[in-house]
Amino acid sequence: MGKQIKNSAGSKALTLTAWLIALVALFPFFMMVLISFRVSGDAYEPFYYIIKPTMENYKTVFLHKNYLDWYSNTIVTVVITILLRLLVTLPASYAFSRLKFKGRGFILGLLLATMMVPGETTMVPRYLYFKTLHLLDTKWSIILPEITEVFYLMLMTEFFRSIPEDFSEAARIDGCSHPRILSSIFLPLSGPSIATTVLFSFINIWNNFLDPYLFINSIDKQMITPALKFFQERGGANIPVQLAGASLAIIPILILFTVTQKYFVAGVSSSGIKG
Amino acid sequence: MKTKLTKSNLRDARTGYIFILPFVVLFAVFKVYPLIYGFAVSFLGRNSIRTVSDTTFVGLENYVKVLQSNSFWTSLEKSFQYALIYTVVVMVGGFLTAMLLNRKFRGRTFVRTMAYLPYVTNVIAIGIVLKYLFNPTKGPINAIFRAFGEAGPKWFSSPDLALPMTAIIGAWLAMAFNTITILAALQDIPNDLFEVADIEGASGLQRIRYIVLPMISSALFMLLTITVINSFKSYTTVVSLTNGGPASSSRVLSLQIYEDAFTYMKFSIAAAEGTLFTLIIIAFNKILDKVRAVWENR
Repeated sequence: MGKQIKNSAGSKALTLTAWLIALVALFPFFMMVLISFRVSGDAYEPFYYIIKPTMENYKTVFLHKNYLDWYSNTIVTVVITILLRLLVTLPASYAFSRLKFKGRGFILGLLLATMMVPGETTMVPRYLYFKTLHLLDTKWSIILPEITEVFYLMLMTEFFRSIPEDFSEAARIDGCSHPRILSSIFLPLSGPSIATTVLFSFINIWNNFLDPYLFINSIDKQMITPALKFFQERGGANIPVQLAGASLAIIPILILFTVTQKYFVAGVSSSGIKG
Repeated sequence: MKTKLTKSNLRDARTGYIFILPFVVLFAVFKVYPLIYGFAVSFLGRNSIRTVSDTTFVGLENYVKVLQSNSFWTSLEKSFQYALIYTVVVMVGGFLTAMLLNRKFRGRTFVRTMAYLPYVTNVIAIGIVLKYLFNPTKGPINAIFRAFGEAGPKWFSSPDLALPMTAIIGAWLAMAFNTITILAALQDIPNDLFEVADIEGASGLQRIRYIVLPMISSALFMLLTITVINSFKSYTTVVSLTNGGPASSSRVLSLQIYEDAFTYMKFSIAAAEGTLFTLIIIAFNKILDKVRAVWENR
């Protein structure tokens, strides 16, 4: 918009503001990495203060007896959750988008309605209930409830709805069964949607703080994000070490995000919200 | 032909149920049941470590206690203050950022990527560096104030600023979702509308008021609903930045629930608070829906 104000002072100011937003977003990450290479005594020197970078903080993090446990626990949990999530969500989305059965709209509506209840209001019953199921202090206390997220059901259902009816009709006439249509027609077409699901699942489970914080007690079984808080509290006031731990903890998501940014944007804008 | 069709319809329906069964069962067991369980626990007497498996029905006792306690109302108010600031910042900030990033300028792709960056990270990790940056005595932000001979605000350790600060940081981290959605909605506005505006000599603000806002209003309402739902999820942000302090000035309801349950072992009291909070959020969303319906039919 605003073709006539191109190159005017106003236009320059707007571009500058956009760049400012980007720099404000980048600055904390920049500082995080920068300070993580300093010795503790230099932590509060200004950012342009040149020091000889040290790897000591990263060494401290890696030598911490649990840091690598937290990392691998999180990766294992994320991978299992994503696989089970796809396995359960794909057929359900196919049914909601393609098959007619009694109560379809009602069930979908009910699932959607629960989305407005924030998990933190139910932390007490979830804790007590998982305790009776003997799920506490295992990764299953994170995985099992995470398998069914309505957000991903909606994402896939919306996508399946956009696949032309003719595709499945033709296959039906040829005598294809529904599992067959799902696996050999819908699945090959859903690459982008599955990529979006994988990316968002990865980010959300990796960043989840409250659930592992509540349900996992043993420090060697903890996930990386809540462990960072522990690391912060027990690691003493050594800010560069804390920042080294935090930098290492967000690297996987940053890499994943930059590589698959296309799917990230597509995922947000196709989640049926655009109206 | 007709019987064959119904037969295949029946088969379709059966496949439909089988396909949704795993999802629905897991959802019922791990998502819906805890809600009902919490409701049930709120009527029991599980208010100490010895009574954690107690099944004595105490009626509305827990609710009476909660509704009579000052801390419930104070922390509920804090939750709503957080929600209000969060919603305003996410909605306004998300819209303005989208408008800025929708323009063509050099480095737009890079700027967009950077603007989405906070959304993919978590507040626990980024909180460590934010507390460093906003450290009132040693941090680089207050160094700017000191350069002008001022001490500068105390940010997270100021009773007046702690809650607004956490809400703003929470909003800043979440804003990109709105920005991306609005950017996509802006793409759908027909270009001729802007061409007409060019001919008529409309100002930038007039374009926003008469073209952009009406054209993306349905997207904005959907985003408002989602933002309001998310605005009540303040636990992680508050815990990582202020832990409810200083002097419980940022102690939102979810922190109170956590403390009642896991510090004082008052599980039934905490379950009652959780149930009340859920009901308040649902009621609030219903009111918002009504407002939206009235607005759209005006």
